Formats: sequence, C-alpha cells, structure tokens
Amino acid sequence: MRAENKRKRTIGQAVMYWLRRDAIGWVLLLPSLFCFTIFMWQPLISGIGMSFFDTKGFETTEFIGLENYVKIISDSGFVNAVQNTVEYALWSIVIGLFVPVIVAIMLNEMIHAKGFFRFAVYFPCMVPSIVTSVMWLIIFDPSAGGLLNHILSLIGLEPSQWLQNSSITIPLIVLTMTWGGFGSTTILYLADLQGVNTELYEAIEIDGGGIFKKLKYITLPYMSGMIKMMFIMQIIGVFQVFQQPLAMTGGGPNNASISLALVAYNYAFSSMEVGKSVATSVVTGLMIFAFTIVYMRLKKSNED
Amino acid sequence: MKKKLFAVMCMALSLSMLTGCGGGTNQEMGDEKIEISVGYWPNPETDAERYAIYEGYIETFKQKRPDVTVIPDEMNHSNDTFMALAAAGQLPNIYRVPFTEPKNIINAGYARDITDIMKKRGYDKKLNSDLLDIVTVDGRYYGIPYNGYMMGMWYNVNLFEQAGLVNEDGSLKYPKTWEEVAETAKIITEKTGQPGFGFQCKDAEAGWNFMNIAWSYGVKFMEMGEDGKYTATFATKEMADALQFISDLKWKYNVIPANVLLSRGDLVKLFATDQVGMSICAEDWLDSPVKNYNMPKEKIGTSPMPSGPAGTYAETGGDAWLISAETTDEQLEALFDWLDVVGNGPELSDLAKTNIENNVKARASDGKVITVPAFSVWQDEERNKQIEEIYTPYVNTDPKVQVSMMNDKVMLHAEEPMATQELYRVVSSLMQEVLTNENVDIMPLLEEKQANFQRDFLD
Repeated sequence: MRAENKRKRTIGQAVMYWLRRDAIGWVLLLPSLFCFTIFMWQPLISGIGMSFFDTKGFETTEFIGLENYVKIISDSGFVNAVQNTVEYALWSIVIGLFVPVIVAIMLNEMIHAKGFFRFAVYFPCMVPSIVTSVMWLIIFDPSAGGLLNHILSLIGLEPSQWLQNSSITIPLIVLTMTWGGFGSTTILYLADLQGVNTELYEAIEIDGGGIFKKLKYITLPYMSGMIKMMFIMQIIGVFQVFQQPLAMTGGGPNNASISLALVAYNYAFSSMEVGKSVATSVVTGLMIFAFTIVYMRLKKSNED
Repeated sequence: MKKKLFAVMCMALSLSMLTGCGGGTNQEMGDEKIEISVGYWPNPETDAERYAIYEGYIETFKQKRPDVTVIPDEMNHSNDTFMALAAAGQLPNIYRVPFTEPKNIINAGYARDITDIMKKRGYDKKLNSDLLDIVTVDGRYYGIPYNGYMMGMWYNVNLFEQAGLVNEDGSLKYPKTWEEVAETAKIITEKTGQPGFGFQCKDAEAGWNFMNIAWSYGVKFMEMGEDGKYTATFATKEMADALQFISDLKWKYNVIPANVLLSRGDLVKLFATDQVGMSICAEDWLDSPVKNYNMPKEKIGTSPMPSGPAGTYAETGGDAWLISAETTDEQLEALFDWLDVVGNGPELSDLAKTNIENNVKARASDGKVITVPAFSVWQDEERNKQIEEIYTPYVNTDPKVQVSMMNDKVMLHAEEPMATQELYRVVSSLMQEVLTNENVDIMPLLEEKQANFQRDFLD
C-alpha cells in the first residue's frame, strides 16, 4: 500500500514536474487547444456519434445503428455524387498538381521583378473564393457576349456552353479552384527550392548538362517529397469540394457537378435531416482515410 | 520577468475566451415582465420607413399589453442560416418562413404546437384550409399563414414597346397561352435582340416555378393511395410535353438567355436591366427590380398565368409565422395579442386597420409597388373586403399595364403535398438536362427520375 502511494506520488510529481518545466509552452498552447476542442474535435466526434441516431433537428432521438448509412448509400444520387467527387479529385491531379511546381521553378529561376511575380502568383489566394467563383462565372458566360466566347468568336470558333456542358463542368470548376489556390502551394514549393545546393547545378553545368538535366536530376528529385505531400493534401482538400459547385452551378446541370459535401449540405440545410448529413460526411471522411492508408502503404513499399 | 508577464497575458487571454462563451441570455429572469422577440423586423437603415412603422406598433401594443416587452429581431428565413440559429436556440419567439419550409421545420422540432390557441382565437375557422394544411402535422397546428401570394407573369414594358407589342391604349399585347408565350418571345427576340422569355433553372426554385407550366399541361405529380401512401405519377406524356415546350424555347426558337443556370436573383437582374422580355413571377417580386435596379415601376407589366392544354393554373405561395419551441404559454398569449395589433389576426380591430394602413402608406411613400393583394390567406370575405378598402387609395400601378394576376379562368393550386422541396430539386434537374442537352430523350429520363423520386422520398 505504502509502495503504491509512493509510486502514485512519484507519477504525480513527474507530471507536475513535466507541466512546470513546459509551463510557458502549455499556456501558449491553451488558446489553440481550447479552439480545437470546441470547434473541431468535439463537433467531429459528436457528429460521428450522431450518424448512428435518428435525429430531430440537431437532437438525437433514437439509436438506429447503420440505418442512416443504408439510406444515404441506397439513395439514387449517392453513386453519382461519389463518382463526381472522385472525378474532382482526379481532375485536380491532372490540372492542379503540377501547375504550382512549374510556376515555383519558373519563379525560382527568375532574375528580374521576382517580388512582383511572387505577389502576382499569390494574389488569387487573397481573393475570397466566392469572388473567384463569381469572376469565373462571368468568364464562362455561355452567351455570345461572354468573355471566353467573345475570344472564341474573334478566332472564328463557335461559342461554347462552358459550365452548362455537363461533360466539362467538373474540369472547369477544378480550373477555377486551381487558379484560386495554386499560389499558396507555389510559395511552399518555392521555399522548398531555396534549400537546393547550388553547387549541384554548377556540377551539372560543368558536365555540359542544360536546364532539363538540372530539372531531371536535381530539382524534381529534391522536390519529390513535397510533391508527394501536396498530392495527398490535394486529394483530402478536393474530396471536400463544396463552395465552388454551390456558387457556380448549384450542383447542376442535372447533378453533373454535385459533390458529396454538397449532398451533405442539402441533407442538413434543405431537408433538415442531420443524421443523414453527418453520415454522408463520415463516409466522405472514411474514403479519404482509406485513400490515405493505401497511399502510405504504396509509398512505404516503394521506399523499401 | 518578461517570460512570466507573457505567460500571465496568455493565461488571461485563455480565461477571457472561456468566460466569453458563458454569455447571458436575453431574457432576464426574475422580472415579472414578459418578453417576446419578434422576427422579420425591418432594418432601420435599409427599410427606414417600415422600421418607423414597426416602432409605432410597439407603442400601440403597449396600450393593449403594458406587461409585455417586444424585442425586435431582424432574423429572416434563409436555408443557409436557419439550422444553425435553431440549434443554438437563437430563433426569435415568432419567426417568418415561406410556405415551402414549415413541414421540415416542424418535423425537426423547432416549432411549437399552437393548436389550442389557434382554436380559441378562431384562426382555425377563418384561415384558408389549404394553407392551414401547410402548417399542420398529425392534425396539430404549428404556424399561422399570414401572407399569401399567387404567381403570374411579368413583362418588361421597354422591350414590349421596342417589339411593337403595345396596343393603342397603352396596354400590352401579353400572351394568353403558353403557345402565345413562345410566339411573343420570338417577336421580342427578333425585334430587340434580347431573349424574349426567361426562367430560373439553377436551384430548387426552378422546379417551384415550373409547376405552373406543368399543371397547365395536365401533369399530376403524385397520388395518395387508400393506405395514405403517395405514388409519384409524373412520368407521363403531359410532363414530357411541358418539358418539350421549354426545350423548344431553347433549341428550336432560341428565345431564352444563353446562360440557363439562372437563380432568381440572376433572372430579376436580367429582367430589370432590359435583358429579358418576360418570365413567370410571384406577386411579391415586384418591388425587387424597383428597389435593387431602379427600374421604373410603370415599366413592369403583369398578367395572369398563361393557359395550357389542361387550363390555367397559378401556384399559391406565401409566408407563415412559426413559434419557436422554447416559447412559454404566457409568451404565446402575448404573441397572439401582437398579431392582432399588427393586423395578422382573424378580426380587424380599428387599431389593426390603422396599423395596416400606416404600413401600406409607408411602403407607398418609399416608392414600393402597391397593388390590392390578389390572393388572401383568409377565407372570410368581409375581412378581405376591408383589406381591399385599405389598400385601394394607395394603389400606384397602372391597370392597363399591370393587369391583375387573378381572373375567372385562373385556378389556384397549392404546392404538392409530399417531399415538396425534393420534388422541386428533381424537376429542376429535369429542366437542366432538357435545356443543356438538345438530344435528350425525355420519356426515359422522366421514368428514371420518377422511379428515383419514389424510392428516395415516397417509399
């Protein structure tokens, strides 16, 4: 008994010592910890719990197990929304993954007006995304007077329906997302590039190598870690695409651009079925989780 | 020392955040006074005239209920914010919602059962029974329909003039059938270069608008079986014809805006800026082009809904007051007294009449469009006549151009009874497909949508 008390005291003392040692750190962490708990973790956990209940508004009424999941998955629009969401992610890889890499390399190689171009590249990130969406809506206006259609007419081409053409609605929305978001990723790549040892470039030059050899043997291998991380971040971000389709097409035409997040929004805010809404979000989260695990495994096996 | 000071400041910041969340309630307990919060209050800056009138309401209400304090609340219904307000207990005691919303809100538990007081004060006998159905769940009342409107057509008089569609007496040559709508739209497009007709097609509201066309083509969207279960019945030739009509406007005649994914705001903007000749509208839309785009109100023409092969149908819509679930019995009595004073009760007292007149007068002097309401939520003829008498002196529209949306031919049609919002979304997606895909085979598409609607929302 005494030994146990002594042990407890020892653990208590250790914790106190630990807290006291990092007191300033803990105090500094406290506001963030508080915000994360209240605004992120608590809603996240209670949302997952709520998905197993029948709901009345935001109140849970009865435990119904997986019924919400069965309902959302058997909904006629679910498969379409999943397909669309995956399509958003794939197009974001095609359109969005390499644009910042290329721009970062170009910026890094620039000699004059570097500051201006850095600002110009980052500028779209400072524009609220709803403004970006409205601006692109004007650019994609399908009438003859629309900006892009006017340009097409100047070079003698037929006007396009742009967002109203359901086969290109998603790539066009991804294009607007890329425009609005590539600046911040570019800055990260640019920061990464500052760590490249310039002597390596000089070595290639001495060996008679040009810009492409530099890229192939030095720059891209150096950036590969960051590119892989951005790849996964992009998938996670794009899987939650919501605001752009809501503002630009409302999920149309004929649900051609509806995403899982927009489905969840419609359940919660239009039909007021919170249980089904959070179930949809949990399914989205699980998909991202599964994708991340597969990616990590592949990455590990490649490294081995 | 600096480190310690910094730590203390961080601690203070954290504590202030913690205490900040504690917040008090807006109802001070322990006071004998009853407080009622009233939603949809006018904004003092953007709606100054009406705000002044509402301030006056408070003074007159005090004469009747000196024991009650009215707390103004500008909360107006929006799908984006409603759930968050409701979940946080921030709804006012009485709040406005459009007729499309009460069922979902009642089922979500955010409205109070007010059956007893509705019966006690005679609302159940005098309100239009179709409209009462909108606020009824399991035979209990949860709201008070207070403002009704019907749908019709509106016309851009500038474009009608340019297209030569004005009679010698100044009246408009407006279309009486949907076929004439297509013909008129062709003339406008040909003569002015602007789209002759426009309609919403971006969100669920598009489906809501399309109902008027569909019913006039004879579409029955659903039927109730003997067991009370509904069956979707819109995959029919009538619906295909109605969709073919809008398809022709786009692909055969090319008389609608190139951008078909229009929200209501987009459509009103095009209409108010002479970029659309005509469209379906609701009675209460008339202020919007005047207020937001300075369109002269005499340049807005109106008429009843055009006829289709099955007749002339106009959808009815409107607003209801719902009472928040937390409202006490005492507050409820006070709220119904408030409704009496502002003229939303079944009987019109002299005080209520004065208040209604003041409101109409304020809107008229603010440049708003005043017409005698074509459709009332009350089935009491005497009451409706009194309202008409109050409105008539302030009517500021030209009857030659602004023809009443109601006539003998028009049959009023309430919204569909089940999964209304979901049905609108389905119809809206049908419209989008038809208007963005020239070669779509309508009938198989209809069958697929009907089967999905049945499975997702009716079974």
